[in-house]
Amino acid sequence: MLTCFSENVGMAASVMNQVLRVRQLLWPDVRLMRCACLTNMRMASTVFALSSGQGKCGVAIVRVTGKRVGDVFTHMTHPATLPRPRLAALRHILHPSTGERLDRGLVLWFPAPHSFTGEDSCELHMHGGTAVISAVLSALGTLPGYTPAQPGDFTKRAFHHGKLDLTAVEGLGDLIHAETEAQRKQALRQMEGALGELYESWRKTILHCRASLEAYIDFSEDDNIELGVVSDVESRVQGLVEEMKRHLADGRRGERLRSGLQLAILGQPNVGKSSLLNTLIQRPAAIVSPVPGTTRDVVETVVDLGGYPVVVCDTAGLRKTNDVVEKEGVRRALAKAQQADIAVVMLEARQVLQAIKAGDFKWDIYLMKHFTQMGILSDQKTTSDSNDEMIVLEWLSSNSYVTLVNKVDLICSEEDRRLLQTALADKCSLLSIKTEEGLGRTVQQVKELCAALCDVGMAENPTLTAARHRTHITACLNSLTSILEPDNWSAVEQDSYKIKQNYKCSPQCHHLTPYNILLQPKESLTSEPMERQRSLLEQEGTILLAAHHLQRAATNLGHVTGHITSEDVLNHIFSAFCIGK
Amino acid sequence: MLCKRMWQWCRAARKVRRVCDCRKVSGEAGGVRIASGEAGGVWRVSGEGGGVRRASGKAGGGAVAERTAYDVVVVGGGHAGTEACAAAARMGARTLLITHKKNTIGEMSCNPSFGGIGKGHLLREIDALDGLCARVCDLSGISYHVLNRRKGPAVWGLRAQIDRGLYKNNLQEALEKVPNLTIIEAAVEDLLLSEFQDGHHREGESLAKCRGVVLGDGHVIESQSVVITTGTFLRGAINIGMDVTPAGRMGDKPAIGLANTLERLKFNLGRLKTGTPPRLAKNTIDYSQCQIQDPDNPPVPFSFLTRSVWIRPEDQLKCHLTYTTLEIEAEIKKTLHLNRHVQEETSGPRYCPSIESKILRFPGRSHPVWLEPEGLDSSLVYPQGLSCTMPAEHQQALLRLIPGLQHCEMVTPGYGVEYDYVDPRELNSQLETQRVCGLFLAGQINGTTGYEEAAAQGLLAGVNAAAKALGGEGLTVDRTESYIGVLVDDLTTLGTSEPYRMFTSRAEFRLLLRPDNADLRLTEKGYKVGCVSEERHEHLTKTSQKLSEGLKLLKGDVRSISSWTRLLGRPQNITPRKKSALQILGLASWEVTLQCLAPLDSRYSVLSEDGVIAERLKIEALYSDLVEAQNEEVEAMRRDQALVIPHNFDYCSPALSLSNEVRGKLSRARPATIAAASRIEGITPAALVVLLRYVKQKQQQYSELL
Repeated sequence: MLTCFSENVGMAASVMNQVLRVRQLLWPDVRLMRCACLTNMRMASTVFALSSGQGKCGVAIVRVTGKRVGDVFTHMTHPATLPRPRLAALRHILHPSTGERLDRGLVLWFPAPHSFTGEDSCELHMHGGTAVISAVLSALGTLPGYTPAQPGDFTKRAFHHGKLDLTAVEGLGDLIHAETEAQRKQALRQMEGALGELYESWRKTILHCRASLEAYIDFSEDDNIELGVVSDVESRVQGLVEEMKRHLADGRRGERLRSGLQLAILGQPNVGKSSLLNTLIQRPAAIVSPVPGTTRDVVETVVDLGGYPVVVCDTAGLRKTNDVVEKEGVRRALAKAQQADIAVVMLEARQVLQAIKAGDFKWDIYLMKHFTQMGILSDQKTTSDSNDEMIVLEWLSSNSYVTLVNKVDLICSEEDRRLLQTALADKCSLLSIKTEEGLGRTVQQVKELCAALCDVGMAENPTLTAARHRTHITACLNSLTSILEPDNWSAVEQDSYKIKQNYKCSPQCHHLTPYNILLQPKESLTSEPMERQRSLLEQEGTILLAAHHLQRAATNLGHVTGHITSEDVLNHIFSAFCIGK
Repeated sequence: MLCKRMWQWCRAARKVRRVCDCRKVSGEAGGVRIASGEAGGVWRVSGEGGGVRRASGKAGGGAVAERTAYDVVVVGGGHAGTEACAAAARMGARTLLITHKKNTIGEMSCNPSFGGIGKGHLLREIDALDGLCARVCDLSGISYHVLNRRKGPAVWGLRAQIDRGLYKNNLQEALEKVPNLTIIEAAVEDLLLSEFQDGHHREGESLAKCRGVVLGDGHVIESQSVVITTGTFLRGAINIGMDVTPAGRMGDKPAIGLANTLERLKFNLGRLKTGTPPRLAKNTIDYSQCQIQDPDNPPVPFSFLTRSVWIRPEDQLKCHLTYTTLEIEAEIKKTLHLNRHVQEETSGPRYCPSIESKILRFPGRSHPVWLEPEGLDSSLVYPQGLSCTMPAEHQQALLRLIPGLQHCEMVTPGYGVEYDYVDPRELNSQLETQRVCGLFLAGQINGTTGYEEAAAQGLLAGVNAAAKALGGEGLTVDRTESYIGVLVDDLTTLGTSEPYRMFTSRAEFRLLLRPDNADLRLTEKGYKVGCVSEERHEHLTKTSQKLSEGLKLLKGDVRSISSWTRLLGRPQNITPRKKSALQILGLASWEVTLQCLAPLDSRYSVLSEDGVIAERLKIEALYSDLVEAQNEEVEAMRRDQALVIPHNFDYCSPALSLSNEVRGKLSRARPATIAAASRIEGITPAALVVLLRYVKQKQQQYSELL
């Protein structure tokens, strides 16, 4: 993931970094990824990631590093042996629990300390299709102790083992930043609609359960929090387990998301946004008319720009309105703006000219005002923040933010044109879509920007995001299950046992996917007719262990929905229970 | 550009070290003048007038050259102050404790109890570092009761009702026996400071060095380091009804001068509030209407060194429980306009709310009221759960609405206290302020609440103040090894907006940080630093040897499950798997004890004879699998904690190209390590990698310097 040190990283990435920073300032961040590093930076286990680029490619490389890397060879390749160190071997790549063949490719084994991270590592070189990649990534996620790498994981491991020199770290910050942003954006898109609601409801349930158990542990004796709280948690956990199982077994994965960069066109009504869309894709996808507010909904079209797939989104004109339908359109436009990788902001030449003539014209200030007017920037942010200057400056250093001044054809007087050109200089593009004046230059600019963004891995493939989410949700489910069905053995041991069993019988059970394995009755996996399983919540003495597993479940779900901090739990406790002596 | 900056920084660092070296020499040789160019003259921040001015004759020039009379001065004789001075003295520092009144040393200003869930953990850790309060509690308790008994030993809350008078006497007696410690009565008005470096101050760098204190009568006492533990006294004010009285505690003067000093030094100050309930006359309470809570028999001592507590189990007092009725709601609402404390916006503790705020936030419920004895012979009762600040006559009326208290007499009214606290992000993980070198803060001044939280900080600050004076490394404890570490890390990294109290849910590694193993976690570390006595260390060595032998034995005894079921008489079970005796002992559903194993091996019967060891082994067994599974995480966190960020790191340096948001958050918190930085909300993985890079650079440059 972080390991793709391509040459193009350097400059493009630093540009990107600035760009993204501005974007973070602009749109109030979402909870998701805000404390991304809260837990994941401390999770130590075996991690894996796709380290070749995210776009279409002939060969994809997945890197794995950590103590249990050997399991990849013993559980996922055929023949199931460790290859000779640092020599490529051609192997079948199998699913560890079903034995299903996923691909055939080269595998490499780098025993510590002679590896990129200084830990045991391996590389799987396989075919570059998204289906293969996501299948292999999901399969890796089912190995015990394996978790998808978080941004920065590989670097940190390498750092700890003295494997990174300073030049290597240079530029990595930008790369990781891009990656984090890409994941955040992708997750945001995924979070829309039914799936998002589902994830959010899970997060709420887990938070509620954690708060209840913690309140029961920390406060029950002084503040008479009844045992009823615990049985409520048990039924909620049961419900959650059922829901997650259903979700994982369900083939539908919500709306298929388009891969590619997202480009949103923003601006006031009737500034020519739809015309720009039509021009970019060279067909009339959106209705254009002289009537302001023609576009009500977001119109999305995929277009090839500079060789990269780009989803161009035309949005409703931004203005304050009382029309219910238009209001919804504006809301959607702003939501789109928040998720977009690139924003193209359009202004009208006559308006800009007016402002210039009014005197004391400063482009940055004008732009800020304009954004506030349109609702992209909230009023408070511009007034209360003393760092206004800074924001503006950073704003201007931004390159992923294209501002276009359209309808220059309407300015007839030579003098006015010169005025406009000198005032704006190279700060933004002047063009007229109608007369195609300046259009070529503008399109070129957008193309270059797309190329820069794609090369730093901005466009994460939605399928891969889905695979990663699946792995985390499965891990979350496992933790929850061990609350309801404590097997008396530690989870890790239990898992490895499970895998060995299944691996042996792989030819027969190839019809099992990892998800319907979870649906199988537990006995068939563990062959352990112990006494009836009592949940950890049924006995008071083990409630603490239940809280422990719940915490782990929350951490895993946190990778999907944003993390639950101990402060979140305390807040919930104090709002739900009357604590106090 | 970047190189130049780093080079400058290095030069500054070298300078600082040179100054420190000089100081050490002067400490040992006695009488060597410190006056090198960098150290400059003695400056004093005046308490009343504006700005900084040169101190008058007696504090200035000549005094500097003399060897200071004390290494460490501790201001305040509460739970933080007493632990701090005792710890500093244990370290071998000549220590002075300055308090307003000698006879209020060790006063329990609020509840007559020590311990509880989370707090009991802290007490055990204080004891493991040879602190006083756990041992004094074992000599002063009148009703011992472990909370959470049934919820598993990792969250047992050791707790006891304490006799106020006994506690104070025993603590004062213990302090008298501490060598190297002097106690005087005085009010500290100001700090004696010396300018640290020429030129203007850069963010994150020390502004000055604390060289002692100035007393109310103008007297100057010099020392190498100073610990301030003023509790609620820092510009403290008491609220009852609409009346506001400046006071740190009922009947005691507040500390105004010091607050002004801290303000002048531009410390980031905030304001917090807390409260205490009225006290009742014992003989006017009708206990027949209350539920009874019996104390434990046998009582569990707080200290690892105590075999059994001072009181005979049958002599312990009982606690009583009653509940409020809905009638009190009307009474409280009627008096809201007379209640200044409730009207204000200052943050109070959410988990220890006044009865007013409970009624307002959760109406229509009845709330528990614990009637706790204040002492063996005391005629007072402390109604826990009834903190209130309404006018006194209304408090009396309110009390009489509660079952069992219909005829009670209120002896003193409840009141609220408001006080200044210093944003704890001003401190490093050794509780030294980053602004003023040699100045340590501990207790409520850092935004915490509770005796145990205060004592824990006091101990840490005392040890480190002594280490600073004597030229040692000092003591740093982290989140993976103790609740004290969790407390300090939370405070110094995240700050606090309400009085901070310990909860077990704040600890990530709760199954590891247990009350039973605090000595294994901390005593050896404390011994190396020098704050743990030989006696305690010997005790630990013996215990840990027995434990590790026992664990080895249990781990080594591996049999098949079926043979375990046969040997222990459990239902038969056909499975090929094997389990160690430790795992069998830890099976929650089997409820095996060492006594059950005793018939299998004579070595088990030896182990089971020592009650303490047998219990500790059983607890180890309960959690051993899960603790082991967490080991990797613990290791990862420790690795991050080892990556120290320079304390004067410039987050605004353009070379870092951090976003404004991240910059702001980092420069406010000034995290000490990469681990701490990663816990700050909104710090992205990318920002961490950038920091990593600089940490690495720093490490390289250090090795070049050495």
